[in-house]
Amino acid sequence: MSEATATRSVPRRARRVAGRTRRALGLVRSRRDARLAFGGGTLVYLLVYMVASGALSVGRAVGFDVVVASDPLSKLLARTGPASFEPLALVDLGLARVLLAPGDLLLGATLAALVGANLALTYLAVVQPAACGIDTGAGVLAAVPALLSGTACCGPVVLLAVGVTASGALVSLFAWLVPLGALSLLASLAYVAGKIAV
Amino acid sequence: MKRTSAEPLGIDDPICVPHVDDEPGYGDLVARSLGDRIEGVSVDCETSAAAALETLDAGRVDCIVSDYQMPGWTAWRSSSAFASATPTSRSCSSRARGAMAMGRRPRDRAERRCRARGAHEPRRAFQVRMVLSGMEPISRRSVLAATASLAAGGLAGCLDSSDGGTSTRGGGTTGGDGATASGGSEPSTTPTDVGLPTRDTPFHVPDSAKRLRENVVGGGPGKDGIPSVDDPQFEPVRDVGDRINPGMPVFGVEVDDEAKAYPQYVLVWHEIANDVVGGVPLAVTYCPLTGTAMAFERGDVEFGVSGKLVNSNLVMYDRATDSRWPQVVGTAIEGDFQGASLRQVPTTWTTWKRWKVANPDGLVLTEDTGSVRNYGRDPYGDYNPTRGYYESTNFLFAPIRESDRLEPKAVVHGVRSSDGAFAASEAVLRRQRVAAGTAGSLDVVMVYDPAFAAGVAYANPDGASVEADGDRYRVDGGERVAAGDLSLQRLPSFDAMFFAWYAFYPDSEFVLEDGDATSPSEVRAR
Repeated sequence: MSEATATRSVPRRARRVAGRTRRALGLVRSRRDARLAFGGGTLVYLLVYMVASGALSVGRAVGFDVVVASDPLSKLLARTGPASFEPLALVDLGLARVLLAPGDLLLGATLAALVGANLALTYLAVVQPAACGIDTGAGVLAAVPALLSGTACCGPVVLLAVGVTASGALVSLFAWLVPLGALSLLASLAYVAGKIAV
Repeated sequence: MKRTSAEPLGIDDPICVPHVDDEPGYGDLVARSLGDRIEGVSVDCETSAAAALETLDAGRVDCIVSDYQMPGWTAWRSSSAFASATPTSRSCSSRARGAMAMGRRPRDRAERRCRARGAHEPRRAFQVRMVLSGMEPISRRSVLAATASLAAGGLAGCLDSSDGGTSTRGGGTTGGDGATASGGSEPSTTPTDVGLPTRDTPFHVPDSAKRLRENVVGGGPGKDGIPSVDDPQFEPVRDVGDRINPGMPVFGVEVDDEAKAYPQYVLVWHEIANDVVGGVPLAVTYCPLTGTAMAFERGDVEFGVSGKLVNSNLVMYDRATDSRWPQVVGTAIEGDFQGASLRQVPTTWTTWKRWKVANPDGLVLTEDTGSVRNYGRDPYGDYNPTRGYYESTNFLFAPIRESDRLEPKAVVHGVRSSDGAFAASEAVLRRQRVAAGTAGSLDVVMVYDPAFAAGVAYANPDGASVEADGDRYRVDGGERVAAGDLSLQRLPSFDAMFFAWYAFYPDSEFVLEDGDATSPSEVRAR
């Protein structure tokens, strides 16, 4: 294959992968069991992300209350960390306390939807494989970097738990966890989509 | 009238400042702001890249204030154009929110920086308060030095007033070499200019500012990612109820008979409260990672959390000049105030129960901080009982130096003077009740206050004897008085984790074991 042909084939391949992924996601929409896998995966990941980022805490009796930050609109885009945003409201729901930061919710929901999609496609790849003997663990592993990013709100305190002394470079890495996590989720989505008989 | 670059600046020559921004209104505001403060400044407003280049090519430019991103114009282009137009000049830069100013400064530092970075180095954002705070008329000699910062300050103020009060969050960055944005070696702003009280003689700091700057690391959150409490609300001690657990740590400050307590469970989320106690504006600060609670006089200035750490200690910044102040040393290591030390006010780290008994008419900081946080959940651990980070021997960030003379997180009570430091183990002080030593040339005596379970330090230049008598003390055999009422000059001492104290003050005189707790007479006899 000439260089020109090889160069032209890259965007063509990308379009093919995108189309295949789109069709696979369409299959998720059309199958109830796949929709359940998507919904369940999304919800569970979102809850775990909120706990990891401190947006959700459960267990302490806090009553029922709503507290709104002063001048909330000015805080809409204010960040508390590399991948966390200033909460605008606090909602106490008996045994759960939720800090509502629109930025965190949007980020968490996006990542959760990617995880849910990965889970749904992985399920389809098991029940409707294009070929036998595939590795379907990629989607789950891809979710880990994004999950760790949720702990970056108060500095890399998670490193204390594992006894690792941080360095400037390591702290900087936390700023990349979300985009890296999102990219890896997208990549695994495309990979697993190729394993489904659409 | 434009001068050529080769001609020196005459006393009557106008100071030429092109303002480049596609929003013409900003140029008018900058022109008015500078015109009010400096004689003979001439601001030309250019709203396009082409016009800006034409102005730079046409004649002498002393300082340029520029939007750093508009059609056909970027920070790099502005830097290059300015450098080309003024080849004999030395450029520095200062960036305000969305804009930058470039002026003259020593060639070698600016050029070294430009070459290394390939573009101007963004500097700190200045507040319009600096411009409008009633600065004295500036002499023509210093006007070039001040122009860059004043221009940036005026522009920042215009942008701040137009977007409604977000001026103190998220603006600007700081260069790493500590050079100021003013020309030559003269700072453009002094503490007096902005109403910040500082010590006549700075605190002793063993490491150079450069060394400390080199060890500054990002802690995770960005500037003001940990928001200070700028409008703290209080309630009377008697109204607190069960909001605060009796064993919870609080930091107490007393000034002129007004006593205020700042609960650790609130301040752990904010680290700084800009408050007024007894009519004195104070920044009450707390760093969870080094276990230090300290109060400083702040005058007309507010302090914020920079998001940086050195020796795991909070690096504060002042909102007047963005100078950087590590909390433990209380001395600026970067910015216009580099080398100056803040005036510290004694703070008592005690428990809520003890503070409440001693100050029933006092006030306590509430959770109404303007921010929403999960107060009651400490992101680092717990103090009641001690758990997590506060108990472990792990550091989040390695300090400059370490010592194994004491457990890293063991508490010491320390004090520093202008030429030394002294610290005693809190456990030893509790057992021995009195510890004497020297902080450089200053004789110091520390006593343990059973009422607060805290140390108190005094200057003892005459070597008066201090002895415990029950839960009180006698000075030179005089009447029994409480630990906080000795007839000696009280010093602003504070608790710290040993690793942090040692990292900053390795040359301290230490009392770390029971046998070390000398008496004042033994100190005098040395």
